[in-house]
Amino acid sequence: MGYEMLNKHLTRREVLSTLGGGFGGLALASMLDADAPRTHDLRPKQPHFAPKARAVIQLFMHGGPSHLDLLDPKPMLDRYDGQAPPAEVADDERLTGNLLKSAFRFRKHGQSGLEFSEAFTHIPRHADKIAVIRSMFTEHRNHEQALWMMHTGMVVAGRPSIGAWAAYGLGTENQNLPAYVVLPDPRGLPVDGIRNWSSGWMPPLYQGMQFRSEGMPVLNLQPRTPRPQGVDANRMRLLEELNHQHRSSRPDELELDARIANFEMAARMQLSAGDALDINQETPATHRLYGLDNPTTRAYGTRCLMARRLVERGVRFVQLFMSGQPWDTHGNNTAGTKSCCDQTDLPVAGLLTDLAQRGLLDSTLIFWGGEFGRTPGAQNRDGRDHHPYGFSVWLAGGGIVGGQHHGATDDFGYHARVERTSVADLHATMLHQLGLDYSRLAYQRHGRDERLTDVAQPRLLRRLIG
Amino acid sequence: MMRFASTSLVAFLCVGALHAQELSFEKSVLPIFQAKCFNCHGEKRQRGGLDVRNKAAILKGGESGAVLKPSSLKDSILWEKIRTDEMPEGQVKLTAAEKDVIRRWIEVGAPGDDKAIAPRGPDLTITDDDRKFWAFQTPVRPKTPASKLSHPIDAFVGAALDPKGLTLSIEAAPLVLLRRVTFDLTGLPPTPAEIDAFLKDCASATPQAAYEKVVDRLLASPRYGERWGRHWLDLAGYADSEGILDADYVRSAAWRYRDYVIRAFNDDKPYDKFLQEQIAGDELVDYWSVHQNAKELPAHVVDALIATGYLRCASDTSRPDFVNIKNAPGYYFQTLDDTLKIVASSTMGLTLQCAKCHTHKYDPIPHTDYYRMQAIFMSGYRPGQWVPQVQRKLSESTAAQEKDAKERTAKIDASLAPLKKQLAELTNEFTTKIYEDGLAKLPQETRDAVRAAFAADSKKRTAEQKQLVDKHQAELKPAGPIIAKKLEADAAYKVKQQKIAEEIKSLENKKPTFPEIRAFYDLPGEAKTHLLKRGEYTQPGLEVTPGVLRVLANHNAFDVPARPKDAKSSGRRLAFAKWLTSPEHPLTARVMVNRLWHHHFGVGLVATPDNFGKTGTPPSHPELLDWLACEFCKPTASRERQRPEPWNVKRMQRLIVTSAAYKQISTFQPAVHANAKRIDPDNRLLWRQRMRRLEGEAMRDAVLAVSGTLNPQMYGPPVPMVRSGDGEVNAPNDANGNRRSVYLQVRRSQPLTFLQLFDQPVIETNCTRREISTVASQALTLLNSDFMTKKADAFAERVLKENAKEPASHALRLAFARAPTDAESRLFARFLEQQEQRHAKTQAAEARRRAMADLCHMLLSSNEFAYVD
Repeated sequence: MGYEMLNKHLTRREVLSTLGGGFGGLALASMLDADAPRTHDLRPKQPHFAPKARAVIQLFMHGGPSHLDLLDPKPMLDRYDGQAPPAEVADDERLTGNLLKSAFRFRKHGQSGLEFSEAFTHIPRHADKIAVIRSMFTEHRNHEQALWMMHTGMVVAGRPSIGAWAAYGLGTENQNLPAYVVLPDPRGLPVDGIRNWSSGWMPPLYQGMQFRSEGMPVLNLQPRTPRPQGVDANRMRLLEELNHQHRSSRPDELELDARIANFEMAARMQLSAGDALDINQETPATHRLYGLDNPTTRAYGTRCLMARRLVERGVRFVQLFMSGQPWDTHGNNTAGTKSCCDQTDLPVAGLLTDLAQRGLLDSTLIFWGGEFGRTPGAQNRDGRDHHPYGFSVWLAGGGIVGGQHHGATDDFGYHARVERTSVADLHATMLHQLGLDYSRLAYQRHGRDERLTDVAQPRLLRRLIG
Repeated sequence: MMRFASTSLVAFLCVGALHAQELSFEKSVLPIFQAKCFNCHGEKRQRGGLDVRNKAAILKGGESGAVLKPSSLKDSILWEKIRTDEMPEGQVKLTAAEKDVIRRWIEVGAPGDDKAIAPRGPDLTITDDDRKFWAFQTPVRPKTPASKLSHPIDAFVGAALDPKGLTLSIEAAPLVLLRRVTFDLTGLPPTPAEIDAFLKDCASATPQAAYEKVVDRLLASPRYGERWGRHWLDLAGYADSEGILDADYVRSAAWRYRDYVIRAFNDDKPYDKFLQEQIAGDELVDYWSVHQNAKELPAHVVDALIATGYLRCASDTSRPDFVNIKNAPGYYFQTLDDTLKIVASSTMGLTLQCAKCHTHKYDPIPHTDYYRMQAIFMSGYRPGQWVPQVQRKLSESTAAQEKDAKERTAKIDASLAPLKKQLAELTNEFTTKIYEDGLAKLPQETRDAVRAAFAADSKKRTAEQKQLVDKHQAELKPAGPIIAKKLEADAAYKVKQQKIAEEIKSLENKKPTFPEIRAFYDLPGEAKTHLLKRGEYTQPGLEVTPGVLRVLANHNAFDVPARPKDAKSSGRRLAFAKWLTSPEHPLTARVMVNRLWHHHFGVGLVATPDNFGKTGTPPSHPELLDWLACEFCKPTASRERQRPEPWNVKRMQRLIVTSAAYKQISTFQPAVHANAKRIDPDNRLLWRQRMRRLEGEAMRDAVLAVSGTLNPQMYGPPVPMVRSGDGEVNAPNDANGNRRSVYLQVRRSQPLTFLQLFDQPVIETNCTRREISTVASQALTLLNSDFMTKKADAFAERVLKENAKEPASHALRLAFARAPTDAESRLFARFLEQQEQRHAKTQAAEARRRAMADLCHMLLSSNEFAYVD
């Protein structure tokens, strides 16, 4: 077989890429055969029922944003500021001091009159699209454990994150991009690093792929030193020829096709990832909408805009992170909270506006929240400690009925009291919007069905999902 | 069956059980009766009219009268029957320890609540039906089927194929076989010299003899232990860091366990001993008495202690500030639970986790059995009296050495004291100087006020004084790091300080130290274990005694011998290890031979190597599995002249890889295999071998080997990882970084990017079977990463140097272990010519080498490199 034949294979490759599913178009080794080593792919999968949302954008607020200063107004804190908390809500671990009122005033917004603090100036414009869950509680007061809980459903390390579950359950609609993309802060990874988007004991196919908002968008997308023109294409043709010859004497080995297709996908991703993240294609008006014209909001705004472009292109799950844990306001609650809001408030509002304008908000579930809330009692002069017993997060889009809050904490914002919402309830509801039944989305491991919600029996937040 | 019976009675018992200090019926006796007597004297039936479910009923007696007289053994028929093993009637008798409990209980007056009866729910009765499940029966050596195939494995495989009209395929070509067996046994490709030697032997002797010579060479190679040690480390959940928290503390001495495992495989340590050492090495060699009595620890004692690192692999959540956390022990239980999970899945192929919260739904594993097993390890890991992992270490020393070291240290400390005082005085002198100099610079009028403010008791300062202190603190009496910097800048101070510091250091260095051993050992005192309702620490139930899964307990006894009161180790783990490694154990040998098979054929005879229970896959060749298991743990003399050593792993592997089943081709041949494919599409019957992809480690190691950069250095502390700015984690780009993957540091929070991409498991607990994924980042990493680019360059340099005349075919031979076809030679020539022209435009001098590097890079990225036929 001569070198001349190479071009014929190129044609095959072209055919595959125009199908938009070189990977998807090829049958892999029998998925149904439980005995064979399991093989995995990202072809689109049927959801369990008609989904409301096609994609999720998770705006993860590392460190534990203070519900008391943002989403859960507590007049009693104003009244009893500086006094010891009543016994029924007292912190039985006695980690914090007397009650601390919020420095921010709350106001009603929109038709619904949903309350937000003045720390947010832009997000409240979307009050009628937002549903605030005020009765969240979690199971650990330490960052890492609470992060694992929020991302993976349990306070132990090493489990797949909710994004990995979404990728496993639904695959992706665009074979040129990963199913699950993570947009970390270019200044640094969040606390607990890559484990925030790990696929745990699932194969790495399902883990979040980091796209960077500066420099090369994906690790190893291009060689560090660019190769001269024509060199790359020739290399790829040689590889294809080697693989083709190898494959032709090994009929019946579909796994080899998957690996060949994988190189094709990588080649397509070299083009599509760059394109997806190229925000220069956006108008100046859009740039302003996301705050790209302002140094304070530019970094987060860039990631919000990238998130929209990724979702637009069929990426299933996009996660935005901030560096470190900026919401961890132990010593400077007022200034720290304000600073985080200054960076994210306008970009998040811009994202909601943009998605709504483009008709994407109905099919894109937005999550805003962190791993826990903050204590009603003071830590130092103006600080709040970690607080797992009651806190707030919000959802919007993706079929969520906005303009309402769900559940309530007690008068001092200590314990979730009304319609208590576990992390499993939240996860099950998010999966539900994607058309997935938490109990059927199972992964076999060690002879046991593993689930995002493990053995919990969550309740869906019915009022939120209409 | 009562597997789903009510648990409401558990609550009734738990409180009393928790606080009872003495022997009592419900705490001590009931669990024993429940486990061994209830079948005949419980709810279902009361043989002889006797019911032993509660004390009142026992006191009532049976049809033939009273059976128990408190405080009088000789008048208690119950005791007589138990003592003489007349009761229970079945095979399962009471152990010596259990008998001892009954005897003492009667002697002290049979105390306890008259009405207490056994909780039912968590403690189902194991039925004979349960025990009949194949995996819970001791394997019995089946007769090798009559066959024209001489190898016993082939006789079994052939016997399964035959009725379907199928046969084994032909033997693979010599070089295909060489590459297969070399990767299988050593995780590396054959070298050109090995290829040549093998081909020469094939020509001069029979191919079979040549092949067997290769097998012997590979099994004797130190690379073998690195390969098979790595497989075992997956099962053990080995890592070099504690994991869990963001800090992910490094485990300083874990690597010694890694080395132990590699050595054990290389030295062909019998598998029973291998397990015994890992589970109870300390008890096996009676560490505490050696520690007390010997001058120094003999090597085999050190080895056995290091082996227990197996039980120290589970990750740890402990952190000093966790004492503030509610129910902190709940988090410590995680380490204990993970350890149990690791032990059960790696040695017995069973999933116990379900039974942690409730009685297993499919397998006959009652809730209590989980906690009986947990009790075995409770004496070391005690969530109630937790010792953080970082503080659990033994030093490689005896009491005598420690005493001597203590004395020497005290002497050195004595000489250190004046030096340290001198240093403090020096620092004080210069700090005072900074203070005074600073004061002198202040305007005369404020000077005294400032001095007074600093001199005043910090609690009694006036508002004005506080203000002054706040204002001048930074400059006069700055905080630690700043003052250190200021002192550092003072040349006069520096000279004096360095002189003293050096003296201190040299003395400190003389203090005797001992290497650390990350061992598992029992903590002092008696460990209690309670059943936890729903697996929750906050809901303790009945106290349980150490025990094993009762469905497996019939085959051989688990017995913890009584120990002297002051014994430092409970003996529980040694009892468990002995029970586990008995040739009568239904699972131990089967699970291990199945793992060997799994790695040699891609799929185990039981396709779920981690699940031999009812939800696992039944064996494809049940008789072969049992034959292999028996051949492993109780070999006969039939094949070799002398009776071979039992539990010999290499011997089993030699047996497997010399079978025609192993040696047959893996490629599908439509003309030959059409029928087989129709009848057995998944090749469960093994009418051909299976093509397999290299795991991440083998892939990386092969790249290193082929490019000529592999550093064969064995053992020692792990190679630390380098994290680049963009989050990629790599081995350092030096000789140390070119060592085999098994020696690279395994940090749970920072897995090596390359290995993780190729399915190296994230070590949460352990990995019993690797996944195979195909993800775009793999392709991108192969094509564009610095690692691959550099290795391709080195590969090109190597082939150009070693074979200047035909570098391309040399490269192919290195990468694929075969000669190129004519078509390939033409393809390469054409490629190199074109590629050289392209490179010449930018890099004329380098064009040839770069073109060759491109070729080498594509060979390393190709399917043929990544797959083994």
